[in-house]
Amino acid sequence: MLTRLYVDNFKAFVNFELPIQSLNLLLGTNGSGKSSTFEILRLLQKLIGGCAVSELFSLNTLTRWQGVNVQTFEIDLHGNGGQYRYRLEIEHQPSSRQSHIKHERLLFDEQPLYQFLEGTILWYRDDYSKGAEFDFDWNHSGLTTVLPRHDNTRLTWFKKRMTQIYVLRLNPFAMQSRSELEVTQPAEDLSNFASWYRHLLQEQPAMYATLQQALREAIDGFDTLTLANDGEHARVLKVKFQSQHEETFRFSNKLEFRFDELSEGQQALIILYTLLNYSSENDLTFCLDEPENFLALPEIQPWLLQIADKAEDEPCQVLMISHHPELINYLAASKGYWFERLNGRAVRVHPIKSDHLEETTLGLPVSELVARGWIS
Amino acid sequence: MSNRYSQIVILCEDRQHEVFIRHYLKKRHKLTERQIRVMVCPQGRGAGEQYVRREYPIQVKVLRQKRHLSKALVTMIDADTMAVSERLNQLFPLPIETEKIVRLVPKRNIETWIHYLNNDLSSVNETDTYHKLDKESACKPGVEKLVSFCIIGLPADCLPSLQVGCTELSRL
Repeated sequence: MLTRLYVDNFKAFVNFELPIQSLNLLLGTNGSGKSSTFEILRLLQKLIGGCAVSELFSLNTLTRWQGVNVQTFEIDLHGNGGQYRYRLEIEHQPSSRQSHIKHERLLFDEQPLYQFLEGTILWYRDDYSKGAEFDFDWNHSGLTTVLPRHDNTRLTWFKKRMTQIYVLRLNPFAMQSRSELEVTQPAEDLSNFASWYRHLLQEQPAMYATLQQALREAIDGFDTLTLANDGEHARVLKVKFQSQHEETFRFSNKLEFRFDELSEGQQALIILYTLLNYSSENDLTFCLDEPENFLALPEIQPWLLQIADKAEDEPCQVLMISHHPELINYLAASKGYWFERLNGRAVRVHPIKSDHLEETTLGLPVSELVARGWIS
Repeated sequence: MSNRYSQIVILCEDRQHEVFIRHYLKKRHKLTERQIRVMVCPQGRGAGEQYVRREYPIQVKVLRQKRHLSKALVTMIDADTMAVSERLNQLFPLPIETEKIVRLVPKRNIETWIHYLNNDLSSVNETDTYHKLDKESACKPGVEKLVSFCIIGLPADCLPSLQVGCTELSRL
């Protein structure tokens, strides 16, 4: 799991460090840096996945008041029997509005696996002996060139693990029911949920039965979630409901709707329970930005209790951003991190300590302290 | 009322209490999260004792007035340095015999029970302080042992507060 994120000179992040546990709730006022933390993870994931530095890290992402042209990012990740540390330095040239990788490095238990310095890549094998050395494009991560081999299993493990970070900000208004192709990664707003679900059914067929059962408990009248043929390759995600009353029973005992015909809340429930039933045999990280949006109040706690269990029982790390009292009052005292930018300065974060709350709250719920702006 | 709605309320000091009780209810009574409503002290364990004592009479009143909706209340409050009986007497009103109101009072605190159940240690006592778990869910193997104890009977060396707790749990 991710254990630490370090960022320097990116937007309002200056010498910023976030320790990360298996279950985390990120709290703070608007503009305090919570969603940007997720954005940083997404950008690093895209860079390692092959996107160009210039596409991801524009000159505008430099901290405005710093006057320094190098950005630094570090990710600590525990897994594969050891501790990884990935470090990336990006240098910007304001005169030409160009940016490139100044230095990129991956360590495993403090031993080098890979280095990309001033345009030259140096690989190390699993036994830390030196491997190939060659020049490479400064605009891309050298990790994109890694191909799985018997002597670079640690490197390839890290690269695959980075694809298992899911930064998700659910937007039912963007949802599409039709799937042209399977996709292995959901879009950030999950608009391609139908295509991702299609992939999940192939990859994790055992999930189908447990998910349907969970949805029957969560959604009144829910029967099944199905992918119907729509042409040679395309599928349409449909939801069947049991007819419960005489007036809806007239034509069939099952009523069928396209996924995007459901209410936003029902779509959100289906997606959130899919995440809950996603089998996490391989270490993964869910970064969920306000997952409770669109859910009715009685639906929030049952899902929250289960995702919290999943984060602790399975190799499934969960980071959530929320402003909702149900999440705040359940998790803040034990799993909460408070983000703030005092007087518009750099982002700072600290864990919310329950003993500190005891002294200062006078019996008020944490959500009430947040609402009053009394938490810091 | 459909079983999709909350029927059992868990009232407790912190998330460690809650995970312990909820896992017990799931394993022993096959309840789902949807049938459980959790009320955890939002400030955590430090302020938890006052929170539970303040909320307990309210929840008992709700249970008595809404019998068709609400079926049981499970409360947990650490004894700390007090006697179990003293803590129980602080939870007022007392339940009548037929009511499904469970009052669990681990002594010295929940970590004592978890340490005893997880490690099978007869050397565990109710005076020493045992460390908190890194993950609350690490209590689950011990809870499953408690479920079997509640069915087959407690061992002779069982902690006194756990014996009282098992009797309380039999009210469900």
